[in-house]
Amino acid sequence: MILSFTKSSASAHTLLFEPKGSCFVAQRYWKGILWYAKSDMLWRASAWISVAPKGTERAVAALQDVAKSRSAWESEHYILIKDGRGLPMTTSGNIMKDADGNLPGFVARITDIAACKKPEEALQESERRYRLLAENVSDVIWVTDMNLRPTYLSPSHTRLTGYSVEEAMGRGIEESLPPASFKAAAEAFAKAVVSQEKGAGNAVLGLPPLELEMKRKDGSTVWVASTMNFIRDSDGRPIEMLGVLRDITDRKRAEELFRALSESSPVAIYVVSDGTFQFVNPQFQRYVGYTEAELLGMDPLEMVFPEDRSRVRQNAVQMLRGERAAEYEYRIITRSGQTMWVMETVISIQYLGRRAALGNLMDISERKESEEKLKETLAELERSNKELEQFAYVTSHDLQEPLRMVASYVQLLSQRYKGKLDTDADDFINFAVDGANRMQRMIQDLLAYSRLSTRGKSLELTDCEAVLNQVIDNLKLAIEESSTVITHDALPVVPADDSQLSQLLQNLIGNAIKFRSEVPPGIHVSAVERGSDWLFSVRDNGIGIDPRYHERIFVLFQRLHRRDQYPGTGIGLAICRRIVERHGGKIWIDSELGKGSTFYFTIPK
Amino acid sequence: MNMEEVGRPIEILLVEDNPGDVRLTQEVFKDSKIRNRLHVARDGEEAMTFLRNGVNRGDGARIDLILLDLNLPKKDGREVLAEIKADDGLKHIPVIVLTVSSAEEDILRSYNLHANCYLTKPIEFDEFVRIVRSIEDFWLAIVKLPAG
Repeated sequence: MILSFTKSSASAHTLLFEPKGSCFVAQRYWKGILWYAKSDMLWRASAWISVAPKGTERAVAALQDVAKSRSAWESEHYILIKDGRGLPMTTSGNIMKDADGNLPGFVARITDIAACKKPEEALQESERRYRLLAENVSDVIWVTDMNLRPTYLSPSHTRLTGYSVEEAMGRGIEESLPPASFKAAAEAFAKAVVSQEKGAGNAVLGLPPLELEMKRKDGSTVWVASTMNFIRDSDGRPIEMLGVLRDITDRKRAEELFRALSESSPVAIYVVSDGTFQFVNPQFQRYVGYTEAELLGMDPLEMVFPEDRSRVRQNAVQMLRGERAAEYEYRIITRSGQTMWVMETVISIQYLGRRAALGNLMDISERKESEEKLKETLAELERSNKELEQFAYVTSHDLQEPLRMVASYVQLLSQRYKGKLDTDADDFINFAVDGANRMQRMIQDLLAYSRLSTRGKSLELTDCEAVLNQVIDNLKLAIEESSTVITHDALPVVPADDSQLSQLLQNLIGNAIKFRSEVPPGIHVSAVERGSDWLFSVRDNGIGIDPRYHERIFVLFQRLHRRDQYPGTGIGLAICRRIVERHGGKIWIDSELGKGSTFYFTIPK
Repeated sequence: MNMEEVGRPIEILLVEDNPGDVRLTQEVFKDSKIRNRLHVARDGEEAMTFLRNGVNRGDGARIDLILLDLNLPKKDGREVLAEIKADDGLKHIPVIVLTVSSAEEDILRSYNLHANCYLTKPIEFDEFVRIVRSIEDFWLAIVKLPAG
């Protein structure tokens, strides 16, 4: 029981009295506060109460009351301590009882009202605790005097800056901070001093922590956030500064990176939560023409083209839920009233502790414009293609009808009147018949040429060797008549329109036979892989072609020879080129007059 | 067909709207080795009227062969062919269809109209003459058949 009383707080002191009033146990702090030696303390209760003039009677009365009523008491009075000063105290007391109910004495607690000075040991205890705390936190605790000279730095300072505490104390604050941060710190300090002098007290406490850059021993810097408080003397005058530094380098770097990204990004970036803009980067402002102040708090859908609104909302919601991966496109109306096409993605984020949508959008007006133009051009192309097809039909049907009439009747004339008129008439009729016949053939060739694309089949894997054998079979008669020898290497399987491939080979081999030299024709067909293509070649020992005609021979109806030497309209190689191009390849010739020709063409694998 | 009929001219109906083609056909048949009579209908309706009147008359022109152009005003060649082949009195008559393109030939096949022959226009004059000659040969082969 006694022990429990002795564990009192620093400003309360406990004494035990016997019933008659003699003090027999004094709590240890008693010594500290009253400056009496222990031996001096065993004095009569009436004696110490009587030395406080003002409180004497009340205290005595109180003690007597307690003795009579056996209840607790409390009273205020002065007591006199050894150096002669009277201190305002409260005393309170309880009647003590032993196990048998006897009264061995009573307890008095004297409480120091002013608490002007903490007992030394309590202070030491408390200081020990604070020190323990200060030495073990990862934040840095600093104390400076009013000239900003460090008087204490917690050891974590070493981890933060690389300087030992001693080194750091020696360096002082100006050396520790880069100029900009030192300036900021000095200004904050000056402001705090001024405001506390004006009676604002610890006004700095209300300010957000000061963010400063600090030099590290290795030459790099760290960013810290620091609090700042005054330590005051008993009169309330600030005598020291104290604060806590927290390492915010990671946050600061992230902020710097974010700012650099957001400010220099060609992408417009925004954050929306609760249906309004919370953040917009400079590019976004440039896009829409509104200022940041105008945008914050604005509903993003307001600037969306009205017809696009529901689609935008739907797409955004789907994307935020992760149900959609592809960006979406819509129109916005800028402040100046212009329509702008944008492409957007959104993701769900936490912003200032709330669910928000982070949007990225790009101006695709130019792309849209060229898309529109392309669409128009394509439509135009389609229309002109249709016209061409119509033209092909006109040539096939409508032109051929009257031509057939001309050809048929001049032939009827020829049949019925040959030799019955004069020789001039026979010549004239012959020219007319020849002209009409040639025109019919040209029109039919032109039709065949135009049908290569309109009637072409889709490309299927085709065995070129089988096609070649078919071609050789088709040309059997011409081959036998001319004693042609055709050889070939192994030929691949390629994606092709087999009937067109057949026509291609037939035209090339047919030409090789047609334009043969004096020696019997020898033709060799081969194919080698070249990158993503097959390179085919058809080599002959024919009359060859002068290099200056190598381009011209592939043009429609271009002929290099007189009709009476070599018949034909000049369609064959034009058809070959069209077929090869339709298959995604190229065709060319390597030849010299009198040295044979090699036709090359490629077909993609 | 019996032997009494040998010697009578072949009765041919040309259904054709183009006067040039009509005259050309007439000229070619004029030079024919065998006697023939070429009747001309300028459209589908005229052709059907001609054919049905002949049947109704009983003693009218008995048509041995029809040359039918597909592209006709009013009733076109496809309808004419379908009506001929659906008529018991007419369906035995051989029909040679003159088509403009191979595409139309395909269409005809899909209609399954039982034309006996297709000729694709434009045909060269020589070829046309050859065809007429082969019609003659065909005719002569038929008339030479013993009575059945």
